[in-house]
Amino acid sequence: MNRNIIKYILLSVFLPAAANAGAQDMEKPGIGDDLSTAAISSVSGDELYGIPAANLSNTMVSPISGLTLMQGTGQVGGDTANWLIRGVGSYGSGNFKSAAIFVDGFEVTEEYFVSMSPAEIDRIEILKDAAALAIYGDKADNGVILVTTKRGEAGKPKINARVRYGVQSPTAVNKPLGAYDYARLYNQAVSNDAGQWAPAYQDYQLEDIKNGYTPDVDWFDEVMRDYGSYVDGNVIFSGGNKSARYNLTFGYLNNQGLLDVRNTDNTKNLSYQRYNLRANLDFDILNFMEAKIDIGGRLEYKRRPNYDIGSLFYNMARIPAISYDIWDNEEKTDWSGTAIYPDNPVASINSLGWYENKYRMLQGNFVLKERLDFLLKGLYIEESFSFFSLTTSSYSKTRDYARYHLGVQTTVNQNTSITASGYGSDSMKDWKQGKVGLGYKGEFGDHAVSASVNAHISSFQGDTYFEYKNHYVNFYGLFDYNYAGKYVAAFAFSVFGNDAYAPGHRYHFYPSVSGAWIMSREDWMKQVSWVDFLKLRASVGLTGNSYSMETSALSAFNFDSHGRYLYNRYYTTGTTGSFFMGPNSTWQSTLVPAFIENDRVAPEKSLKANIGIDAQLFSGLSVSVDAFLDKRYGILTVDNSRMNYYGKLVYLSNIGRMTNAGFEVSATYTGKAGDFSYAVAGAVSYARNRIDYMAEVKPANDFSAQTGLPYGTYIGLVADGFYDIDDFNPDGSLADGLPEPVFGAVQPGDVKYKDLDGNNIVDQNDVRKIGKSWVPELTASLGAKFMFKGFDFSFLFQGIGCVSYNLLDNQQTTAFVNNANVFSIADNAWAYYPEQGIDNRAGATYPRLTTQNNENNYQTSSLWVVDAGYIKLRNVELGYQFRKGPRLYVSGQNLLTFSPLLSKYNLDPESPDGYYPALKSITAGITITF
Amino acid sequence: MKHSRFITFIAVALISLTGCEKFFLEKPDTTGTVDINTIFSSEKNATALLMNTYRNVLLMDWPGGIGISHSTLGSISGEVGRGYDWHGSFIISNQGLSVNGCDGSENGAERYSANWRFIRACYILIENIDMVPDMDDTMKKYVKAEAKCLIAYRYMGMFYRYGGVPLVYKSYTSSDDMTTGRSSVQEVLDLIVRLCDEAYADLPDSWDAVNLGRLTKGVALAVKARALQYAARPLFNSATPYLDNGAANNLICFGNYDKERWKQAIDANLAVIEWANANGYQLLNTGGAGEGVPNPNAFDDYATATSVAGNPEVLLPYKCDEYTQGIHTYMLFTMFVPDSHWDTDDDGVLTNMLENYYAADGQDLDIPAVGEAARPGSDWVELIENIEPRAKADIKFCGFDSYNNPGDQNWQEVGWIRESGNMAIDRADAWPGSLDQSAGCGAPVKFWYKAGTRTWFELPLFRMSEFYLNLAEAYNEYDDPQNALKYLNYVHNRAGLPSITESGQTALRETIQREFYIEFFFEGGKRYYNSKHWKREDIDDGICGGQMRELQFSFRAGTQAPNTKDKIEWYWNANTFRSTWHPRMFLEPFPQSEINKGYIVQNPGY
Repeated sequence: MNRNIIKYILLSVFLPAAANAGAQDMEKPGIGDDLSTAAISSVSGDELYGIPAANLSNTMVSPISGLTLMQGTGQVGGDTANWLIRGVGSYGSGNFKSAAIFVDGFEVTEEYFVSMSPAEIDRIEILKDAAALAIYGDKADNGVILVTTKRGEAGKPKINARVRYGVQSPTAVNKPLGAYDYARLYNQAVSNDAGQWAPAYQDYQLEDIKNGYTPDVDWFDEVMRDYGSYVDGNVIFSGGNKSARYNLTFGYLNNQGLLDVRNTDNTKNLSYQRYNLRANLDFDILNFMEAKIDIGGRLEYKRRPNYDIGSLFYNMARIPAISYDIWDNEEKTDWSGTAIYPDNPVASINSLGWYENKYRMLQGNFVLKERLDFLLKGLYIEESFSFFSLTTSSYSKTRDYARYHLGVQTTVNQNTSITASGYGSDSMKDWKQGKVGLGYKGEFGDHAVSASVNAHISSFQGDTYFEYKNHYVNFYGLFDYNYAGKYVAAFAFSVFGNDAYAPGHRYHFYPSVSGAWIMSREDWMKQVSWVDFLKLRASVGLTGNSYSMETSALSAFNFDSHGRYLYNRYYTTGTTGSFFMGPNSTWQSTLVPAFIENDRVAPEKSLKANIGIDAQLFSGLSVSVDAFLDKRYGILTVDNSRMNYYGKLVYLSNIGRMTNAGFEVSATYTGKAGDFSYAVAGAVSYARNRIDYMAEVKPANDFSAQTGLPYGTYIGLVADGFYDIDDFNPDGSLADGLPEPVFGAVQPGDVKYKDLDGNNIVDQNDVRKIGKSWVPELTASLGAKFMFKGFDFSFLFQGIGCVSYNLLDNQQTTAFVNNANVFSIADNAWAYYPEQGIDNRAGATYPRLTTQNNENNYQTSSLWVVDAGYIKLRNVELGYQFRKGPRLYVSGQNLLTFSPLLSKYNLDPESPDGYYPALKSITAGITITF
Repeated sequence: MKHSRFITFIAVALISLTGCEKFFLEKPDTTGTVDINTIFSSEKNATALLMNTYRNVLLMDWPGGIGISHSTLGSISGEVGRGYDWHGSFIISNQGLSVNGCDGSENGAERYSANWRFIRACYILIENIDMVPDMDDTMKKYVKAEAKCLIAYRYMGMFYRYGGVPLVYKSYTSSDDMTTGRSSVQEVLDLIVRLCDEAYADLPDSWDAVNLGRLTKGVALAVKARALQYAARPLFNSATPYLDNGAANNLICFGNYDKERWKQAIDANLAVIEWANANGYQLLNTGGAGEGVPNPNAFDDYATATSVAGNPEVLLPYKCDEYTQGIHTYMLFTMFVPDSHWDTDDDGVLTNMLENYYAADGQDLDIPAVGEAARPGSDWVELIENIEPRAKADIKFCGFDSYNNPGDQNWQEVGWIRESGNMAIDRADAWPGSLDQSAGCGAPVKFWYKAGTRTWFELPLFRMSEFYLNLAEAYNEYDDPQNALKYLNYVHNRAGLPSITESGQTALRETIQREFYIEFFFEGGKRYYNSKHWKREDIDDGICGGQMRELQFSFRAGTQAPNTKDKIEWYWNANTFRSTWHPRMFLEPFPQSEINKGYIVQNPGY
């Protein structure tokens, strides 16, 4: 019994990273685990279930080598994580979440994937190298996420029921300073602007503020409750016999947000509810036919107060504590609000009604496989069809409220009574896909062969300009050969046709070759007792990517097509204005060419090479090591190298090049001593890229160039402390020898920059690399699990490194400007008013305060670009398994965070922009299996 | 047997797969917007494309049409203050023109590439208009001629801004050779003249009411006349360029002085006037006083000519009669539009400009020199009350109500709500140089005659007085002072001033240029370009560069708003800021990014 449990847990919780558990199927090369030539890491659905989160993407923090995952804000219903497979390989698609996602062999949308329940998932595999990816053609450059849902097994019926409940709270809330500190620092700001001590709040007023005679509202405290909640329950029925098997999953999830407002007819907290239902059925028919029928359906409800959540948190951060009380009168009938700060955050959640988004999704797959042994032993064909439909609709109840300040109405808004909107459909997406394939598998003595050729057609229909109808066709094939289970050679290809391109340029060919050598099966290795298994792998091949962000250059022309249809000459009415004719100035509509067409636009290509080692050593250590090189070329790029007289419209062509290289190491160790057993697992992934060519307009100085640096590297001015009093002549001009900044007049306390090109002028020609990229290069995780009798204890750390953040991206950084608030970061501002006893010149970490737009101080510079790495305790869990009974457990998520952003600026490194906070949670649950 | 069945099966399978492929990857039903076939499938769409070329091509030298995002060319040519310290005009005033952009420009105050984008759109029209099924041949002929004239208009602008530029004769496709360099000044001029001649032949004399505002034969003549005028002026019409450019001197001047270039300019300008008189356009002079006599309706006529939509003096207006065109942001100084005053705080009229105006009796104005003792406010009131009508139409002087919107509070001191000059209120200690600068002696209000709360005006792109002054200048250079005076006095008398009788060529040249400065104050950067092409000796001394001067005003202690003229205690003239000038700035720089591509050479000195 004991041993079985250990085995189950070790298998399910820490699957060896590179091995794939699946049996032979048409989507992955390789004949069985041991003989795979590809770099694939995987994680089980049960392991994902171990990280409680409403959004599936947030559960993928487990040690999955090659996957970088950042959880982002905890905004209920809007908390999809950011992920990358092997970093960023192309600036063209250069963003998070660029990998294609396939569920049970068919491509799905991101929104479908992230709201799947871990309960319905058997495993998720991350395809990383050309051997695994070549068959995905235009979809493959940035990796593929492959989801396999749970299927029934023959045996007696099983019921697995799981319930858990959690409370969630922010990891960090960076609150603005209170009324007194606001007034104290505001005095400095206006005095700095006036050039002399000219306080807006006199001493007696400061005294009043201190004594609480003025408003001093902590909006975060007033708007947020201490805890949000999380309930998740699911039941899985499975079983069947040789000819029919089933796996039925039902799930329910309810996640309540952090807003301090009750769910009533007229108000709603931020919340997310989900109902999942999935039925996966397998049939064996007439002894030569297999059928699979899978139906997955889902209902989702996202509710919130009728006020944008981002704007709500923006206001909470922006409205100074001293501005006004929540209510303008003692009877609490009139909400406060002013012309400058019209939207009282407490009123925003209580008095505007509420808003609901509803999502209905249905996915159905039907697969039929016929064994054609009567033609040729080992021959089979497979046909499958999939449809996916997503409908979104919305409902709202709205009202408005009048704003008062000191008894006077300050805006035109009036108190209105609540009205319900009609129920309206917002959008619909359809995705129909079909596949047909022919396969063969055979053995001849020591020779084993498997091969398949397939066709996959896809028709996507959505609602936007460029998603109205997209088609692709993928002809792909896999050929594997092995000799005696020792030497494996594989060939895979895709001929991918895409309607994004001009006739004649729609089809592209992507081949890959790969091999593996299972050294441990050589006779001479069998004597090495500590080696249980040892495999060397290598692959090289070509993949493509048709999705491009570069057409954002055309967004002004309404043509952000993500790389589609650039071969035709298009015109737009967008942003062109009108012209007038006639004596009465009659408006004439206008059209303008959108871009210069290029009929040779093609998918970007990636030449991927990978070598890897998989080993099992010392009867308990499982290690997998991979090194890769990814050469991108033909990245769709705005070609700035053409002469202007060509016409100077945006011209896109496949000219960009990047190099991405890195390595991954993952290891698992399991051990046992009497009743005590344990497992330790970790993974380190590193990927570093370089832009080789991007048609960059040559900057004035070579050191300002982006080309040659990793994508997204922060480039800015180099701050060199702050100007001091003696940097200026008596008339206020800069002392001789100091370079002149061009961002406006400077004064003591302003940021001083280095004049890198030595021309005595500090301007945008003095920018250089001042940090890392916002794309992390390093991801690492480490977890362990200890078991003693019925008890188990586990923890998991995960973190990223080699990454930077620009503090100016956080609205809280810029104090006072444009009526902004002030946060603790500005508390240590440069200030010098000796008569007032203020002298913060020596230790200042923030430039002098100002209420004006200060072009000089708020330039992107090394003052603001900071290290954004972190380590988080993703999960810690204590459980007890009753003999023949349930398992009970308590766990905590994100309870500890180690990060310079947190320790220095009180910002959560995964949600540093100052909106809805990132969350930590404590969860208790029970699992019952019959 | 088994194997042949297998092979047959595979073959059938593959054929059926390739069968569905054609059906599947067709041209998409929609891409959300119109493609070239749709454009030229209807007159309506083709006209929309034409209207866009009008909107883009014609906005040149005015806010939105220059490169910098803020301010006017008047701010870098001594007409008005240089703007806020982040305005492009301020940066240029501070640092000179740069091969890199500032404040939204690509190079100096320019957006070089926009020329080519708009020229391409014109060629696309010419090349495809014949496809339109529901447009008659006459209209197609007109559209082609309009497109040619619009191309000439942009080339004319590049001609006087850059000198020689690459010649483009078609809309390029992605496979065309892209290695053409710059052509000579002569070749560019030839292209402009050729395009104008071709356009003239095909354009109509007039349009029906619906199409009023489109190009006529007269505009083709006007483009040619202005181009030839610039060709005759000293910057290009010279044996030696303003800076030696080595082997590439022909990119920045003709390489010889040819007096006949002035003759060509005379003929071209006469042709404009002749055509205009035959087609209802005129230098507006309603006073009926006769030739050589001051026009009694001068204020009304000049104000109408510069401000009123559809007036007969404007040969070609920029008809973008909407608030969103945004030109008001830099040219409308009143407070009644919230965003119209954000960018004009530091754009007051400089003394450098003010001293060009005449007094109403034709004498020079008596303005205090810098360093001279302050004069009483009553002296200021007298000075302005006796200034020539054009100044009254152009400027709302400090403390005065604007003359051009009489009785409208928005245009009076009481409704102005902002400084209408460099004002010191309640500052007994104020003395020369100690006050804020850049609000000058008043705010420009030209183009807003009786505008009320209208937020747009039709930019006068070609106004008849230009051709009269062109003729005055050309005749003077062609040694025909009699005709020079005749055409100068058309404009001078129209402005209500007694005839000028100056006769020496040099003195008359100075007087004619002064008339240009007055007549075209704040109007499409004319002072900026003309001064350069006249190669004025003093261009670095108070025109484009050098010392800028402003009047400053102190108000009586205890003054409450409105700060009307009667409350002014003293006024004086002060040096306020210096602008940068370098001889390389006679022509604009090309963007460094364009030079880096290796096919064109930069103008000298940059």
